[in-house]
Amino acid sequence: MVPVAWYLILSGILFSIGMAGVLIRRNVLVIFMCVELMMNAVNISLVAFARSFNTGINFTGDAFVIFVVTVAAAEAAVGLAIIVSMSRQSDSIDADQIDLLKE
Amino acid sequence: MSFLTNTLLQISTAKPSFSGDDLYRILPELIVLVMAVLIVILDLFLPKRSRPALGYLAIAGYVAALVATASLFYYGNPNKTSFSGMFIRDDFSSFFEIIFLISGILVVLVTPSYSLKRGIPIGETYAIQAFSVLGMMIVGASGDLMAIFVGIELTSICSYILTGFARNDPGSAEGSLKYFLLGIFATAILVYGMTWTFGMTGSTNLVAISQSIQRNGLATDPGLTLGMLLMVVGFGFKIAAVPFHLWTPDAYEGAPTPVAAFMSVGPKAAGFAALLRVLIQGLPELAAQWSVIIAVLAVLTMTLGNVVAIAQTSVKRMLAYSSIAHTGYIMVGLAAYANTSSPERQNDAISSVLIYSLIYVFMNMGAFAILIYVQNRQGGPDVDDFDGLGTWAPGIALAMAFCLLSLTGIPPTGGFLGKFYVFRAAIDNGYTWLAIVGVLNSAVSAFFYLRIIYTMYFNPLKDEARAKLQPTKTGFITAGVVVICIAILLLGIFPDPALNLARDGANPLIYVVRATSGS
Amino acid sequence: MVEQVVLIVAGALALVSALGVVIMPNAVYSALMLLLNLVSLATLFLMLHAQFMFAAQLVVYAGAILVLFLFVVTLLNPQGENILRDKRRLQQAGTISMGLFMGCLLVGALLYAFTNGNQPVLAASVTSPNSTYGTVEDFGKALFTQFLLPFELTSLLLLVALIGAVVLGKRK
Repeated sequence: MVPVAWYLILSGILFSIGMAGVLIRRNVLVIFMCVELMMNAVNISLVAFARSFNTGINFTGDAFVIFVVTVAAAEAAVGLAIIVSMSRQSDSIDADQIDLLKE
Repeated sequence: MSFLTNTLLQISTAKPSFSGDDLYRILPELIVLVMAVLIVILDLFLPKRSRPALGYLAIAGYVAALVATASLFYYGNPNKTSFSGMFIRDDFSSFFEIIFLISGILVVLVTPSYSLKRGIPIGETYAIQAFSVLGMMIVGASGDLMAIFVGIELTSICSYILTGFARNDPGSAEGSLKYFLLGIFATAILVYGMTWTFGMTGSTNLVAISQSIQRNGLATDPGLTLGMLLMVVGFGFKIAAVPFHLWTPDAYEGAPTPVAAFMSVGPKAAGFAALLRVLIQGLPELAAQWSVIIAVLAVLTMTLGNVVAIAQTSVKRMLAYSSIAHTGYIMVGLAAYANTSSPERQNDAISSVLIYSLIYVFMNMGAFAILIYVQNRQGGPDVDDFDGLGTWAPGIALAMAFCLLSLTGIPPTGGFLGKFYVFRAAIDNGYTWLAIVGVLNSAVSAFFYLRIIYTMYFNPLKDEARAKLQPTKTGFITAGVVVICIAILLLGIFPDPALNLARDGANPLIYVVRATSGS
Repeated sequence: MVEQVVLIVAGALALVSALGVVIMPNAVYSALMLLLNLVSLATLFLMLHAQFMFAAQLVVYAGAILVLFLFVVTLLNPQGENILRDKRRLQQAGTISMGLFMGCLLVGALLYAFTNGNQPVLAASVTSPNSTYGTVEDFGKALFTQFLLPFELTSLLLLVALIGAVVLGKRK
């Protein structure tokens, strides 16, 4: 049997990789993808935790995953619309070149 | 790190958990939902010229929901959970519902004159604001991490969209993009924290979480501490606490001003509602740990917000930093909760957070409403644009001065009482140093608030600028400003009714905590 | 034994592809790496007896979200950026070390779990042959009873996203 902690460690590392990606990448699309990585890591953790409880059938973890996925889908729709409308105005989606608002 | 075996609270999944009573308990939410959907549909069919009339529908919906909430409050909230523990109808949720609905009404009043002038789609704005208010109401009333998560995301996504609505203004898309990227980053962190909390305690229900922590002795468990830390970071983004505030100035400056006004009161209060529910109802056993974190964040937030606000030349940006500073003041009350075990003292702390949130809605909305008026007449949001406001719009200038004095915390305004209760709770509960930092910060804040009052009354409006003053429709804004000023004055002079409401609102959290700990 | 091999292969694939998302200079490659990552994580869902999640992962994530990403990436065609040859290395080193610190914190907490007495495995109720975990029927029932409120809320979430995307994406 594979210990549940294996999944948790894998998910922790994936979450950290995604986080590092958000911090070092400048292309907003890739930053967005890195956040999706983090969300996916969370989903693995949720299911792994949910499957380790010896308390009979309980779908809490599974339901939470569904909500996370739905939220991610809604965010993708809104976020990509924002990125497209941004790119129409400035021809660039590099996070460093977006500085109209800096003093 | 003890993985749970058989000590878990069982929540029945078998029987359908839905009845007429549940519908009755979520009546205010249902009213807002129906109103929002109606606006979406009517917006499609109405001709463009009559769409602003949807504002009346929105106000009617909010007022109806407010009446429903108030009557539930008045006739005694059942203190019962619906939807298998997801939704709690108690005085706490009612109090926050009142805050959210009032901010909804006020934002509808200030929106049209700004949006119509700048070609911002007004029907969609009203609809999305209403969905945002609905999300906040769910957050305030949810007893489960899952419902809090979905509710707070509904609110956040609405805010991202509203920020980007001014499509003729390049700053709008940019502010929206920055807000969005940092917001979803925070969401990922928040949900990871919730995952760890769920994994360690075996449940997402807040009461079950606190029971499980007690039964399994998880108070010092590293996994649970990690979950708590990540959740505080995630909520910190939503309430714009330093160092998680980076999105705030850009998002506020880029957003249409009514949206900035809305974001500075509504979603912020929702973040506080979630923090209170999660930390006090779900993780009371970890209070010793989180109270220190909240206290440190409060100091950082107050200080940075006020100091940076001094240097701003744009009033909009200044109000953004000022809203950060006010987050810090509210956090003082939250930190004060954890240092005491006496229920009265705990009630003092929580009710100070509630009353401050309520007063803050009025005074901040007021300042933003007048900023919108000035922007409509002058075109810009800078301090210079307030030159001589006292001569060319004396009534508005007086109201602005009143709101700014309230934000500074000078009696007899509501702002003074809010600060008084928060700092008194801190001193009573052994956080005297925190209260001192808060008072010093209020003194610093007087600089930039009073500077605007000085500009309004002592800087003359140049003649060429006077010639360029644009006409604007003032009906709704004036109504909003009058309501706001009366509310601030009443809260300052007769605080007792509101304070009693806040005390009632604070009780459920303390009651649940005590019932859980079996004393 | 088979389980462990599958886990190691899928896990390694997930890690490599996650690194790929972060490192690839071209956003299109990043998106494709994300696809690989999603598929390998879907495999893990199967091993955790979460068949419905497996399907949802493939249909919603890989099928919908990622395709949307690819559309936008190809529409905007951003210039490449090679982070390994960037000038502001100091700033990056700072941020990377922050991420690593976070990672160490997580892995530390997990290793503690590893070494601390009992190592939990999948619960008996999950692995028994007549378990109903992961089946659509039981999960659907739970979704429409126990989780009704957040489930209905997600419909509003999607409605709002729809309205927002239409308004924001519209040409002037």
